[in-house]
Amino acid sequence: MAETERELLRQEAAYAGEGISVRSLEDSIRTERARQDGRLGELAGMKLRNAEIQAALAREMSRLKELSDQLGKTRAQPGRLARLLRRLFGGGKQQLEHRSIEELLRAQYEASAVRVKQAAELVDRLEAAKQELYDEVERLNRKIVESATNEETAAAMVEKLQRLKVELEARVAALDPTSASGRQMQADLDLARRRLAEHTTKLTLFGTAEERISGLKQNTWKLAEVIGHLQTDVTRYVTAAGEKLDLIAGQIQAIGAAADASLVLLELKQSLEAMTESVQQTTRFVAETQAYFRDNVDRMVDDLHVYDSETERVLTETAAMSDAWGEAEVERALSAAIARKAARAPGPEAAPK
Amino acid sequence: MTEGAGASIPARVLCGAEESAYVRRLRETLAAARLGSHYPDGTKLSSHLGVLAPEVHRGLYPGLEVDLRSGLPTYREWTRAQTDVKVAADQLRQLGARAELERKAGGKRGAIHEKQLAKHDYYAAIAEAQLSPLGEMSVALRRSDPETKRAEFHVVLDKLDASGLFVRYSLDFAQTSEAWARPVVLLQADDARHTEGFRSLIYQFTSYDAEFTFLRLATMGGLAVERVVKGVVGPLCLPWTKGEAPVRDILGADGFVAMFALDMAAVDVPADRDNDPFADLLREKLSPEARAEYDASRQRYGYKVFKDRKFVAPRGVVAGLKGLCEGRGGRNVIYGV
Repeated sequence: MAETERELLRQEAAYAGEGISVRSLEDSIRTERARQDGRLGELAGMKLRNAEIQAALAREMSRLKELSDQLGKTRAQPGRLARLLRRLFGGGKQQLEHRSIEELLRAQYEASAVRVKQAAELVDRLEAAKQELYDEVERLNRKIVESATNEETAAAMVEKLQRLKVELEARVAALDPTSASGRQMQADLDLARRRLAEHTTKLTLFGTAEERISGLKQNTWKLAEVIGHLQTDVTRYVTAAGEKLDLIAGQIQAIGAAADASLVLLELKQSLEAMTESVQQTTRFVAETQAYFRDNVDRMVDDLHVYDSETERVLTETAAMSDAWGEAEVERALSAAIARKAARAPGPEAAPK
Repeated sequence: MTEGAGASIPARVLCGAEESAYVRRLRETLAAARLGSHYPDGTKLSSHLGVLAPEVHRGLYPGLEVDLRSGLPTYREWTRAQTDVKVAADQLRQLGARAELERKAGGKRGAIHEKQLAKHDYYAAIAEAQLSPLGEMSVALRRSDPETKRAEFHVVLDKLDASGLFVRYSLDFAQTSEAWARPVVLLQADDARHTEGFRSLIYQFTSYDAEFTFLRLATMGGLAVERVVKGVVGPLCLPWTKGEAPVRDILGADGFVAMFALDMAAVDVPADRDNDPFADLLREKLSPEARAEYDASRQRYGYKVFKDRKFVAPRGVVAGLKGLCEGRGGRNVIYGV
């Protein structure tokens, strides 16, 4: 047996990263899956938060509308304003029925400020979650590249060992099996088969890891995209609502300073309409977001469940293969690895021009 | 320092060191003013201001908007602090453990994690902060006599007024009504509704002087008004605010004058006295006919009016301010800082 052949049998392939086994791959995938479950839990929390804000905004909408309607009635009846002012500034007995417009508006403003603040905080939480997901994509990409590199290394080893095995089988056939040299050749053949089985297992495991981690990465991307869309939309409405609130904060002081001016009442009405419109946009958005979450997140969870069962199936098959290696399995693993590479390689039409 | 945009009131935004110095100066001024029970609670006001300090919010807000009429932060800013304190405990719960936020912020993951850490520290610092109410009324029953069906009340309304000043209205009055015929008086649902209406009425009077409020309440059926006291925090006159012109003239480049007015209309004040050199009297704005009616009411209800104003100013400004007050007939307390 040539020295290069002996070297091949003794050689430990230089795989990157930590070693891989069925158990370690299973553990690694489970860890990643648990991490994603945590992310989905966070997303569910944000979904719940949105629902709370939506409910609170709906209540405020109703109050704003009521206040706006009251102001509308006051404007529609000129005599009513005069009576109102007489009650405020005129003499004689008076019923304590008139609520201060400034007071009502302040109460509404302060309640709305809390809601907008909560929504603004949600935007930052979404941003933080999104950044963490991008970090996770980077980390998963490193793992994918590592697995792909290791898969190529394993494939090269399997090819070499396969050729050596065929060569050794021919040599064994040419020798007396009971002779010392025949026994030695048989021992070399057995070692080659063992090495072949080991590297074929690794080839399958690295291929599986690459595929599964790619699947996880896709889900992580989807999650980041969902959060990104949500963040963009919440930011839009928080900005709009914040601007309206700033406007109203200034006007509240002006209104209080001249509460008997019909012009101020008109401005107040306009402010309320602006605020109502803003809150309507918000409510509409939150409702749409809820639908978006229902449609996407739930489907994503389903996808992950499918993914889980798929992973389990592959891992079970891999475990079975490691128990009973046959030549057919080796051929199949090698062919599958080659087919995967071929499928991922760009076709002629996709090649850069 | 930039002019506020879009607000209906004149405002200016202070940033960075200027913002920090402004908050510190205003808190020192409040401490120096020695505000009594007729004024808004100085401790709560100072604590409320503390929430607005850049050292506390750690740059989470771009600056502090100041109302140029009052020299105090605008309603939006006071509300900002109130909102943040209100949501602080919940936000701390949602942000999670500080150690984890610190780990993320230290891992070069970008600005958002540093911001989340700053928020955690901000909310932790303000979660227990006491705030000055922006519009809150308390009603205390002082005494009730079922035989005469008479009840006596002490009412306190604290409010950030439309003028941008903090106002405390303290009212003492008695009401004779069938409602107080019960041997033990409890403020129940009907009374609470009545109180709500009363609160709204007083709420609208805060921009006017104590005498106006006294008269308005006295003309209501069944109310015997004993005392109306209005204590005001502000304005804080700075070289760049829209204060009284003569005051601006004595400030110099970096001076200030903080004013604390007290306005009382009560049946137990021995004589009318006006020691407020900057009083803005509603009475003086009335037509001759209305003023005559006003004077007749003063006779009819037997009350007297006392007005006073104290000041806080840097020692270098005290002499000029004293001269200004004396020139207007005032002998006022001026605390130098």
